[in-house]
Amino acid sequence: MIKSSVRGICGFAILCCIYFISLFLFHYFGIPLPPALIGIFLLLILFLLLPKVPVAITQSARPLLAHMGLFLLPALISVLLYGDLFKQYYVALMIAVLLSTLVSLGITLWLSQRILSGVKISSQINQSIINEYKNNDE
Amino acid sequence: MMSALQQIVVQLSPLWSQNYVFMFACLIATLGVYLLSRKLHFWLNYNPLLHPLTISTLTIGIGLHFAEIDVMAFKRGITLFELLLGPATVALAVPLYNQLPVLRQLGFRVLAPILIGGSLAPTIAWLSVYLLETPLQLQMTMLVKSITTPLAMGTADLIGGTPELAAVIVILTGIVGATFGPWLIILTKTDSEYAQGLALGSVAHVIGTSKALSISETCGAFATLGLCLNGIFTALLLPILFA
Repeated sequence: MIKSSVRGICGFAILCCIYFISLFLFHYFGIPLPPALIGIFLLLILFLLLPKVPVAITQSARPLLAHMGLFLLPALISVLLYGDLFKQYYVALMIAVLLSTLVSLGITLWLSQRILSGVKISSQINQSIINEYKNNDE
Repeated sequence: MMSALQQIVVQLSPLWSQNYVFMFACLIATLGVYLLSRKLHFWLNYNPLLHPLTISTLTIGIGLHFAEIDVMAFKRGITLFELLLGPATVALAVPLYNQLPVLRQLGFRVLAPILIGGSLAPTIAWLSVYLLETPLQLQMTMLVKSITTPLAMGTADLIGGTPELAAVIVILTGIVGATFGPWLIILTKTDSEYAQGLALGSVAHVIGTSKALSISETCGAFATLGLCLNGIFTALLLPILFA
């Protein structure tokens, strides 16, 4: 129990460090990419270089990803500040969101069914990718 | 060097330059509302229309209005949560890394649906707001609508959109996608769970992914792949095109 929470905290600290490094790179070099995306690439490169993925990072990633919603609330709440823009254009927004989502989801489903019908991944890979969702309620 | 560090410190500064009592009150209130709306979502069988984020935003919005608390002040109060979004987004590399074997085995057959979904949705969305004569700021924000919210906000910021507006549009897109997804799956007679997952993940991001997980675990895994890759492609490409 103590061991796993220490691990989780270490993993979280590593994730924070990676994010700060990417923030720094973003500001210092003016890289035209969202800082978080730079961070994703850094972490991915780290995973590919290491012989084994550190358990500490995967362990702390799980609750962070599961509760991403909480971290999005500040942005959603500040939309109240854009009330005027919303009032003026909400019809256009709703039409655009509904139309584009439904049409593109429909077409993508139809086309990917053509591309992927009958395709099967090996059961070994399947096992490894769904394992991630076991014991992952929270 | 110094100016880059200074900019980072400015981002962090609300953490220590405000009334701590107010800050903790805001944080705890937000956390409480968030956890309650998650419970509510669970009791209501994960209906995507009552997504915890819509319920929490509405509750907090109404609460602020009646308590006469300034939205800006409240947002400053919960800066801690906003800052945690960064590390949480970086953590997306973990599920992506876990799905890489699928990408290696299926290659282009996995990439094609993601590219189709990822380019079709913003194109149609942009065309409709363009034809409806909305300001450029809104048009740019529309382009990021189908990628995962944190990347969408960062990208919107870079291409001249509004991050906060992007967050709302992205969540709405996810809700629409997850609500109508099951019907569209029946309508298009899509029986491959790989196809279902990829389409849901690449068009309706996280909210679509949780819908896909309720279909099957494999479907959820493919949705995660779609969500991560589409997020990365869009966030890479849009700033190159428009920034």
